[in-house]
Amino acid sequence: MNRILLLVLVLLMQACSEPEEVSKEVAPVVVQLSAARLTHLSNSYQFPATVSAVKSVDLKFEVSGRLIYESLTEGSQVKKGQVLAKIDPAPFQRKVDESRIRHEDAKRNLKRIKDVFEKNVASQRDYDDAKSQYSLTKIALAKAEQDLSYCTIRAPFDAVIGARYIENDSLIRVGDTLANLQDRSKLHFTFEVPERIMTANAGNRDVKATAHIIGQEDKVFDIHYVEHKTTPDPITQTYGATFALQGEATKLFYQGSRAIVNIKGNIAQAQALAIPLSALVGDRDSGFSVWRFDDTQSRINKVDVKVTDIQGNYALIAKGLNEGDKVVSAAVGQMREGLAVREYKASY
Amino acid sequence: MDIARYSLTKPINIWLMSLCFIIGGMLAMSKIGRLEDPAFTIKQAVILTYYPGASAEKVEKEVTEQVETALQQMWQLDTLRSVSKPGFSRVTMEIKPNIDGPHLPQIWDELRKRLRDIRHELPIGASAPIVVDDFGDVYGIYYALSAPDFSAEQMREFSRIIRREVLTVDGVAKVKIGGILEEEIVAKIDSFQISGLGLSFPDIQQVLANNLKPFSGGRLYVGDKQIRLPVESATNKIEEIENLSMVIPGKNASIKIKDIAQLSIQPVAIPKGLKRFNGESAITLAISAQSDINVVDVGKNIANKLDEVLANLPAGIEVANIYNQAQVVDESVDGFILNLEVSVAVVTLALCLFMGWRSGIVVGGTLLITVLGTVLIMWLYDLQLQRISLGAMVIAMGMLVDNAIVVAEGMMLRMEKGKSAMESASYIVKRTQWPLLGATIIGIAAFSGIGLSDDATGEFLFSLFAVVLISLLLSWILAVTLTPLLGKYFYQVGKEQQTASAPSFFHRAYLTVLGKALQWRYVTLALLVVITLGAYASFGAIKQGFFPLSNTPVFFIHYWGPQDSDIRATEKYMKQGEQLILDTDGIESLSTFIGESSERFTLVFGPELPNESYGLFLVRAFDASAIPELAKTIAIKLREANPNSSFYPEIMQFGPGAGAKIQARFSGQDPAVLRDLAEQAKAIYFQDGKIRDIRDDWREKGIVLAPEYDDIAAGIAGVSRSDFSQAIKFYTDGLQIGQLQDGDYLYPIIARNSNVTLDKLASLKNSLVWSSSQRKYVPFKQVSGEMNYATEELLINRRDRVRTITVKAEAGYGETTGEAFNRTYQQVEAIALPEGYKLEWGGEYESSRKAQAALGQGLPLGFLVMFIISVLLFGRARQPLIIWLIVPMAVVGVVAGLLLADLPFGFMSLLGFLSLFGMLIKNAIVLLEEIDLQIQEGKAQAQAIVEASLSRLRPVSLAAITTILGVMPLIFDPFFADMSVTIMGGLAFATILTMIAVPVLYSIFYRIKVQSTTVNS
Repeated sequence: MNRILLLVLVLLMQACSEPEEVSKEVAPVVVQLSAARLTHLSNSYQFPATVSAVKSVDLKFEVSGRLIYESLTEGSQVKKGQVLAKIDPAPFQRKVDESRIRHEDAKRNLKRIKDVFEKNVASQRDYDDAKSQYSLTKIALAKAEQDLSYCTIRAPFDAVIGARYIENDSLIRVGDTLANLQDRSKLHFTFEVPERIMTANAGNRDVKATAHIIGQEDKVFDIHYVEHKTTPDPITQTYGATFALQGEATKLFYQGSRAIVNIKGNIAQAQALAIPLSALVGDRDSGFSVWRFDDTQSRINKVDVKVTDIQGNYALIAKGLNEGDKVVSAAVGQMREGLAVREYKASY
Repeated sequence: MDIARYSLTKPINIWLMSLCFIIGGMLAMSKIGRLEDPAFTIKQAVILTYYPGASAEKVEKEVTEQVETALQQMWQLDTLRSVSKPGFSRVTMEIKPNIDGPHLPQIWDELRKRLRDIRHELPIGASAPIVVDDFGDVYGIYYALSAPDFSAEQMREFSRIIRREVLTVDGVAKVKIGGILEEEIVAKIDSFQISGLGLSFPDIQQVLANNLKPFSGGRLYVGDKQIRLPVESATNKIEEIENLSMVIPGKNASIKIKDIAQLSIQPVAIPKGLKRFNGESAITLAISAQSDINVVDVGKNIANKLDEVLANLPAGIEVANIYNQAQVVDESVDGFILNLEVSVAVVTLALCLFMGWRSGIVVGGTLLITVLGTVLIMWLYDLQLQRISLGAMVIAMGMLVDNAIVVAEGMMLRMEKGKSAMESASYIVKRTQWPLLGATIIGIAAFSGIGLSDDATGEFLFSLFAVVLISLLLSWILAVTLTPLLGKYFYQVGKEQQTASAPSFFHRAYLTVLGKALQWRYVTLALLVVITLGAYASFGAIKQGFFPLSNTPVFFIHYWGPQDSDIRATEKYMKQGEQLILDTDGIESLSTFIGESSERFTLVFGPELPNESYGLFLVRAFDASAIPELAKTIAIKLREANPNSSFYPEIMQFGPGAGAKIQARFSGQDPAVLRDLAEQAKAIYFQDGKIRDIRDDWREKGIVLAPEYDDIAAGIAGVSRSDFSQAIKFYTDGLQIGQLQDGDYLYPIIARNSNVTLDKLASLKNSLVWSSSQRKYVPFKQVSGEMNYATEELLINRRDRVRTITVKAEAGYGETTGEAFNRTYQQVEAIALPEGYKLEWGGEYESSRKAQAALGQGLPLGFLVMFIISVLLFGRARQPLIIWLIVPMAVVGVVAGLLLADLPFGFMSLLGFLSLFGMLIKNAIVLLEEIDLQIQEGKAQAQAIVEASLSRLRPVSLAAITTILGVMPLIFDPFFADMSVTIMGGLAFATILTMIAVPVLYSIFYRIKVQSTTVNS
């Protein structure tokens, strides 16, 4: 009896009113919709580059001696022909003088022997000797004069002095580097391009490239393609590429500084559909779906899409949607198949 | 045995006993432990394992599975739940409910041992499993500290001081600090710059590690002494690091860290959890008191200590209460004591009114001493005053008065007839002591099912049984000893052989009704059966509830953003919501928790797992009764303001809240199938239109972007996976390159990319990777091909080792969960489940089922005891049969009462129902005994029935009226409301049952024809 009572008690607690068979038509849910838009695909890359001058020359003396003059302020600009440094010319001047005297002596001697030879007094041998002596002393004189001229170094082209390695009054030996001159009419940007990008863009010269120095993101300059290596670096397997900058802007860059090169390739007007990232939901497996709005029925359906890239807050869709298709882009977690919806329109 | 005679001859003994109860009771009242809920162990342990970098599925397979297997072998295990998230596994182990709290530490030891054993089976890179076994600790005193003018470092310092001081307060067990703003040292490095220098992260890491670690120095032995030679370690944070220099590889030059990195101390980019109070960033201080202690006192001591500490800290620190258990307990216990006093007063007054002031004093006095004595015994047995034990006293109240009334009334009547006090007392006590004791034991037995059940419910409700046992037994003892004594002092002996006074109108009316009922006894019986059946039929119309809503003016609003949202987004939206709530009228304070839940500040609150997409608003309103409306309007407003997220309001209830009220669990293997099933169930709930807050616990999938690692290219370039992953970390959320100890705080040093011309994804694609074997930088694109975009599961929930998705929902506004559940469960059960998949119901259905099952285990035994006692009492079969036939009829009054008051039939009503049985049975027993006695004494059977009934009329209706009046104040207490209505309605009808149905059934069972003439004579 008590068991029956208990049973009754338990049953009572579960007792229920009959479920009402009312299927109310639920009012459409207001949702935010976004249209899938076509966007141009531009593949842009960024590389760290090294800046180098188009031409960089080391100045060296071809003669030895004491430096008596230098005008080699690092970073200064020099014109072609401008005197940059001088070695004490005195020993060379003396050499020239000496050579000249010898040469004049040889000249006179030759003249004398020639006269005598013409009168057949001197032998043919004496005459030949005098001729040789004359030529030799002439060469010696020319050499001495050239050495003298080597005492002065002039700018070989319009340049910027990149570095100075000697001090005034120091003794210079042949072959010592005085300074480094850079041709700043152009600047080269060299950087390493990964194999993948290289092959993907093989033959493509239609690129827009810009460069800026690290830390100066606001000063951006256009640069153009110059050359690229076709053998990769043995370690990194990347290819060196060189772009150049011309014009006044070159003055703002220094050789060896680190720059960032941005390259944008316009790949044949490639386009992709972009939808807001917030519209994406997971599909049954590991892919993506979106809730597509069916405007004839004002309902939403789940459509599988393939995401190829994310740019900012947008996802690029490869397939599954057409241009202009509207997708739900907010509260996607609360949507469900066939839900009746109404588009949210901001009221002004 | 003549107890009454003994007590009247030796009154001093009785007085001594009473005095003990009075003084002891008062003493106990001030000293007895006060708690909000009974001390109750949550038999759960949580096992956390970190596995950085692994996907949820990988974590599930390689970590969760191993941990679960290890735990599976423990026989103490009840249920096993797990969540696998990317990089993180959390297994919750629930112990069998019948294992007692004191055994738990031993079980946790075994658990730890088992986990140690599987340590080597876990994959490389996974952390050792961490066991959290104090998961169920209640941090009942919960403060928020806000100090907008101070820095994070200062706040940390203040909270450290406060924590240290609060821990010294007596009775404080644990202090947990939350919401501290974590900081990190950020080194902004331009990757292109260091690539130009040929410096690498490993180089920098090496430099930092070599300079920032603590050094031990050496020691010298000089002149028999030891001299320590310490090496100073880094002391000042940033400068120290900035000035470290490192050699540029391959060059004869060095460079300082500050030349390549910009250092700064910043709040961590991805905070673990944020706390806010009233719109200000705050630190929370959660304090748990030791168990079995007077929480009220501890609360006061803490408050004093806090004042003291704050006096020594700079001004500008605001301390506010998020939740104060001490106060809640104080108020609820005080409120109850007031209720108790009111009840005692009402009972006494009612007795004065119906029986004269003398009886009022006699019964009221006995009642008061019974209550005080009960408190004394509770104190001696370490029982606390808390929700359940207080409830028990109220439930017992009705039965407490009964015994005293029966004795007092009988004695008074007899004395009025001119008998001496001694004779009357002896007569009535002898006559009623055994029936009363039997009835009392039956009353106690009704609750034995609850108190002795071998599980959590039993543990939680044990004090209910204990208090009922103590108070009822005490009331019987006092009724047979103290009541006659008091009666002796107060009742006057009437004139000798006074003829029975003319029956009152009330008596005459009863006689007429009884006469008619006995005359048409089968009609009466049929009528009763019809009414009873009608009541059962209309039971369905009563709202089904489980636990009533709490009267604490606090409610929650859970915020859930999409599962893959970042905590910074959650913070942004929570701050918006915060403003909206603070602008609403009727809000006293608002605590905001971002990324994680609040602490378990009351036993019945189950905190959510930390989740970046989760937030919690804890709203305190001025008025508890306004909460349902307030919660609804705020939730609607929040949803309007932010349709992207979900907001689920939850109102606190008494009793364990199991999260969502409607839960359907689908379990099986394939996540896709599980999601399909969940979608179908959700569609059913959406279709319903009324059911709200529909969601599932696997939530949205997340996006993964897997950069391909090109083995060949990376191999040539010498880029290892470690180099690769370091580069990815550096370009995204930051690469940890070292750490710096400052006092008690460890700063991580994080390197981040400072080149910000591109967004993070693009800069990663264009980045450089260090090849540690070739000591050279290689473009990222060279070693990584495609970026693969995909979605993945972020939360894999398992239950008892099977993947389980739970669809959760709440009943619509203005209906109970039971109604909503019943409307839809058939449809959900009709969903076709593929082979190997199954559906289980959770939520309120499950918890009420469990509670009832626990009761169901204990109840039969209790009923058996009741039945046996009733048989033993009479030694005959028909009388008990009569009793057990009328018991089911008690439901009539209950149904009528609940329908009239529009209250649900919940757990508390069930308890009230049980106490009703006790009272009904007691009345029936005493009446039946009386009839039997009168027949034995030689009265005609028919006359005996009528006269016995008439003699019981006054005590039965008096007891009923006093009880009804006694529980009446409780209607205004939300916790007891449905119970008090159950008792009031049930008792009113039970009185009629006793007075009409018992005589009618007796006459039917013994085939006694009662003529209306017998009645009228």
